[in-house]
Order: sequence, then structure tokens, then C-alpha cells
Amino acid sequence: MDKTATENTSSQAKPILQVKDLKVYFEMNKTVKPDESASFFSKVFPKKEKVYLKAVDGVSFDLYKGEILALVGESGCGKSTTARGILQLHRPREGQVILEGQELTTLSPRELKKCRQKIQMVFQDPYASLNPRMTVGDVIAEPAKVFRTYKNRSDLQTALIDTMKKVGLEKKFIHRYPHAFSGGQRQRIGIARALISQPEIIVADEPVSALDVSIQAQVLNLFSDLQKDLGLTYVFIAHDLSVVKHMCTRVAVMYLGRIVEVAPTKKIFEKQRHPYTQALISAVNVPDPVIEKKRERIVLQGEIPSPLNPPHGCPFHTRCSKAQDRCRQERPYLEEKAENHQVACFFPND
Amino acid sequence: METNKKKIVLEVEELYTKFTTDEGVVHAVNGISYSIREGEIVGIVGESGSGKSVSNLALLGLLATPPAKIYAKKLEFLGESLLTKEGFLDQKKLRKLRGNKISMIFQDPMTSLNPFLSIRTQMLEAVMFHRKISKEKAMDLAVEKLTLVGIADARERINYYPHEFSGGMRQRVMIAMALMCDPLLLIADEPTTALDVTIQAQIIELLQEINEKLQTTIIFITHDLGVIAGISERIMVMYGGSIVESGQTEDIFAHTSHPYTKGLLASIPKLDEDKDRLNTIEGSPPFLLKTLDFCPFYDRCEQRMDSCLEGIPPYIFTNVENEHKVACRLFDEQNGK
Ligand SMILES: Nc1ncnc2c1ncn2[C@@H]1O[C@H](COP(=O)(O)OP(=O)(O)OP(=O)(O)O)[C@@H](O)[C@H]1O
Ligand SMILES: Nc1ncnc2c1ncn2[C@@H]1O[C@H](COP(=O)(O)OP(=O)(O)OP(=O)(O)O)[C@@H](O)[C@H]1O
Ligand SMILES: [Mg+2]
Ligand SMILES: [Mg+2]
Repeated sequence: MDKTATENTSSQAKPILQVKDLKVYFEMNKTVKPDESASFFSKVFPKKEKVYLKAVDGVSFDLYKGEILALVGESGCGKSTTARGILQLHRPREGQVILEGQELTTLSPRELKKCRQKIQMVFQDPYASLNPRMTVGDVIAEPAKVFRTYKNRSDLQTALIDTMKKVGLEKKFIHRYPHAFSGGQRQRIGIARALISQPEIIVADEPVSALDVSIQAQVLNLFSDLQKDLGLTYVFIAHDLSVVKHMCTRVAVMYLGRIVEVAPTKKIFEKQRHPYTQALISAVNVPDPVIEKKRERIVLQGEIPSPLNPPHGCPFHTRCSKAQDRCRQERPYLEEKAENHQVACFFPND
Repeated sequence: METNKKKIVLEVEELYTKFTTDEGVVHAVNGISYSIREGEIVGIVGESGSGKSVSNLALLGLLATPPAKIYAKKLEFLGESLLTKEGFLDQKKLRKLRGNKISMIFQDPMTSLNPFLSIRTQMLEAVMFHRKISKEKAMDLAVEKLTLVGIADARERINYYPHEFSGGMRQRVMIAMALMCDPLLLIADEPTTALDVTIQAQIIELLQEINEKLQTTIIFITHDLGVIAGISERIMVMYGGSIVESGQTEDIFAHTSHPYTKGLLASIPKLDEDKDRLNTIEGSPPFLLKTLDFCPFYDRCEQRMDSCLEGIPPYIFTNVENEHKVACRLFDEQNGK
């Protein structure tokens, strides 16, 4: 993959997708703890209060054609919600998503449907996203039918079998139902479904997490072929950093609903400026039992913050070894600390 | 060796699982045998679709029969047979063990969690079914386990429904649930696939801790060879419904024997190398619609020989001390004579 080429063009060209200050909140009922003096009644039936769970709280980035942008970060930090917010599967509370000049957040469902042809998603939970009453052939072909990607039935059928083959699913599976597949096979059904309508952007949420390394390699090679040959653009959510390093041109690190560091892949693996990114990269497993059993894992200390009660100031300060008073009071915003390298931290590594 | 003296927790001999489908009979598990000792952590790796999940779901009686058909020559948990006289699963015994002495972390959290019930209802129900314990105690226990797996604000969050958690959080809820009754045997099917490296490290540490403190035996199914390298003492490699190689972890990595295992190790993307294309194992997985009478890896093997077509290769020791076994003619010829 020619990583430098895409890095260079990215500074000049117009972005294909812009995400501006995206906020997705969920309204939750929180039980209010009655205090000692509360009446018996309110102790038995504690009051519920509406609170917002700020799953995504101001995420911005530009995506350029042919780029593979990795979205990484701790479980629960808002990666999937960001992805769903981009596709308008969760309507953002604030912010804009601009796809080739068109603002998506204000579109009606019908107008949106047209845009979906350009942008497809691979869901994190493959089984939940597959209709159990449709055969696998129908599940995969559905988007191509909706968008009339192919001229006629026989073209569609050819594309269907071809796509299945590319993700390592055999033709003979075509009439089976999703429940009769293994975890990794289901994940590949989701990938085939996203590819078949020939989108321009794929938002892939942990697309290879359930695949063994050989099939994972096959799918990753397929993704990079499509990027090279067709200029396909990806937002690639993954927790496997070796995969990220291999695949992606740029990395955005999220923490508690916000992006805390963005840089080209090579730069971020050489130098992590945010202490959270540093901890994340230091925890990668090595497939070698001799190294792995001797190694001391760096497990982040301190309390994992909850998006229901986000800490004041910098969201990472509760677990940061470098935290100072300023971090507890003031929220740092993304700033360019080096060329193409943005960090949201008052005391970044340099 | 000292470990050899330990009690055997699970003994499986010639376990078969077939599915009847419209296309024909799918032979998902083809007579696998192994035993697991108390306090061991054993990893199962292998290609997608090779039978890792099905073989474990089968022996716990968690597959719907039909379409599944399960048969074993021997299936013992702590010396007690879990089979009826006819060689089928004894569902009554299994029901008492499941979620109690044996628990399973499922690969697909969304299919095993009930979407219409809050996590609280699901966690409390499970423990109160097996233990005589008050609702308050059960609640405290559930909150404790959720906190252990890194769910912040657990007392509040336990009231949430599965879809209100992130993918990785659901996976951790499953883990917490499986730990509710302090099982003797924990079968963890890809328990960390949805977790980032830092939380993954925390979960692995937790599993190692319960393994050390409570002597919990763990079967750890994963495709992540980095994780397996760190946690397991022994590895079993599955291919096309059979175990093709097994042995102590260090030995499998240092003296990889089966050509499939070699291909698997060569396909891993590594942090310290820059490569344009990743290696793959060419070809497709074996056709499970018929039983093979030769090596299942034959079509894809770079080292195949004529003798590989002469029956299923025997599963034999290449190194007895390290318990290293392999089912491949390459070793049959070297050692078998
Ligand atoms: N209900 C079913 N009917 C028919 N075939 C099935 C059924 N359930 C599973 N299979 C098949 O059995 C084989 C083994 O599946 P299993 O789920 O054990 O794979 P696995 O090794 O866990 O793979 P993965 O790593 O992808 O989860 C697969 O080829 C699958 O397609
Ligand atoms: N439908 C929902 N209702 C309420 N809360 C939700 C909903 N979906 C997500 N959340 C919450 O939003 C936060 C972010 O979730 P999200 O799924 O985006 O995380 P993630 O980064 O994808 O994590 P993972 O790596 O575990 O998949 C979590 O705290 C989650 O509990
Ligand atoms: Mg997610
Ligand atoms: Mg499986």
C-alpha cells in the first residue's frame, strides 16, 4: 500500500467526508439515590431522573478519497456510535456530517436512502445485523437490489457469487440461513453485504475481529486491493493495532467520546504524544510465548470513567500518570502539536 | 511432570457432531479426543468454521437436536459420565452443571443475551437458579463481577438492556455472568474479540487470577495467537472438525509441526514488520458435507504426499514429554516406523 501518496494528496484535495463536532447523546433514566431523610415512599420507589449519556461528544475529522482512517480506543469510548452517527443510524444531537458536499443530518429518510448507496457499513455484531429469516444469498444481495447496482438478475447473481468467493464464503452456502454459520463466517456475510453495492466509503466496525489470521489476511488484502484499484475509502474501527498498522493510512484515537490524538499511521506508531495512546500501544500482544510470558503488561491504573458521569477537565486525567491541576479543571482540545499530528493534551510527549 | 498428576476435569473421547441440513449432513466435528486437567488453561485455535464453537456447545448440550446430532464414546466431567447408556448427552445432568460448575462465555453476546430483559434480570436469574441466595446478595455479587470486568458505574448500568451497551461491554457482561457462580470449568469462546488491548489485558489478567486463586480450569477459544501465547499452557489446533496438532504452548510455537499450524502462524500481521501483503493459506476449507477418508488439509497443503491420501493420518506424539501430538503423515513416517 502506498501510504505516502495518500498522505500527500490529503493536504490538497477536498475531503470526501467531513465530520464536524458530531455529538450523539442517549437519554437515560437514572435512579436518584434517596437520602436518609427521604420519606418511606420515595425510598421504595426512588425517583428517576433523565440524564444524557454522552456517547460521542464533539468528534471532528476529514476523510479523503482513498484514505483508510483507523478509529481506535477503549471499549465503550464511542467508536460504534460515531460510525452510526455518520450513517445517521443514530441521529446526531449536534454537529454535521458532510458527504461529498451534502449535509446528511438534515436529510429526510428518503433522501438519506440515496446517499447510503455511497456509504456502507459493516456492523460490529454480525449476527444481530443479519435478518435470520433471509437466506444468506438474499441477505448479501439485498443492498445491490435496493440500489439497482447491477443491470439484470444474472449480473447480480454473478456479482453475488464473486463477492462471496472474495470473502471466502463458498457458493454452496447461498441457500443457508445465518444461524447455521460460525462466528467468522457471519462476519464475512456482513462484509460481502457492504461490498456488493460498490460504495465509495465503507465504515467497517471491527470487520475482522472474529476471523482467524489466515482469513483475516485474505479479507485485509481484499480491502487494500479495493482501495488501490477503485480508490475505496474506509473508516476502519479496530482494536487490533497490528492490523491497524498494516492497513491504515491515518489513526484517530478516541477516549470517552472524543478524539484525543490523530496522526498518520507511521507517525503515531513512532511517537505517541497523548499518554492514553502511549498506554494503548504498549499493551499490544506479541504472538510469541517466550516474550509474552515474560512481559509485564501495562494495565492502566485508576478508575475507568463512566460517560454518565464524565470527569471534569481532561477525560483521561483519572488514569493519567502525568495529570496536573490544570488537567482536572480545563478540557484540552485537539491542537496541531507537530505536522499533521493533532493532540488534545496539555502536557503531550514531544 | 507434576501437572500430570492433577485430576482430570474434562475427558472427551471421539466426539462427533453432525447437522442435518437441506444440502445434506454437515460433519462439523469429526471424532475429537482430549482431556483437560484441573487448573489448566488450554487454548483452542483454528480456522473459522473448523468446529471450535460447535464442539464445545455440543458437549455442554447447548445445540438444538435436531438439526444437530451428537455422539461421543466418552464424555466425563470430574470422572462422572455425562452420557446416557446409548452414548447420547445426558441433558438432566448437564442442566445442573451448566451455569454452575461449568459456564460458558459465548462468542456472540447478542444471541445469548435476551434483548428484552435488563442485564440485572438476566444476571440475578442465573445465580438464583443455582444458589440459595437473597436478591440483595445476588445484586451485590453481580455489581462486583461487573466492576471486575471494567464496567464503570455498575450499580446504575446493571439496569440497562443489552443494546444499550457497546460491543465490548456486552462481551464483558457475558464474562461477568459466566463468573457469577465461580465455575470449576470455564469455556471462553473468543472472549476478548471485541476488546481493545488495554481492556483485553485487564480481562486476561482477571482470568489468570481466578485460574490461580480458585483453580478454575479454562478452555480458551481464540484466533488471536498473541493472546494465546500469553495465557495458555497448552494449545489444540483444529482444522476441518478435527484436532490436527496439540501440545505445550512454547513447543507449538518453537517446533510447529503441522503444515496448517505453520500457515496459521505465517499469516499473523506483526507490529514490527512492514509488508505489503499478508500471507494467507491458499484454497478453501474442507467440504464438510461428506466424511473424508484422507487428510482434511490435503488440498491446501504445500507438503502433501501420496501417502496423505491413504486414510486419516493418525494423531500421534512427536514429543511425549511436551505432550506434542500431530496428525500428519510427515511425522508418521519419521516416527511411526
Ligand atoms: N446449525 C448448523 N447447521 C449447519 N451447519 C452448521 C450449523 N452450525 C454450525 N455449522 C457449521 O459447522 C462448522 C463449524 O462451526 P463452528 O461455529 O464450530 O466454527 P468455529 O471454529 O467456531 O469458527 P469461528 O472461528 O468462525 O467462530 C461451520 O462450517 C458451520 O458452518
Ligand atoms: N442505544 C444506546 N442506548 C444507550 N447507551 C448506548 C447506546 N449505544 C451505545 N451506548 C453507550 O454509548 C457508549 C459508547 O458506545 P459505543 O458502542 O459507541 O462504544 P465503542 O467504542 O464502539 O465500544 P466497543 O469497542 O466496546 O464496541 C457506551 O457507554 C454505551 O453503553
Ligand atoms: Mg463498538
Ligand atoms: Mg466460533
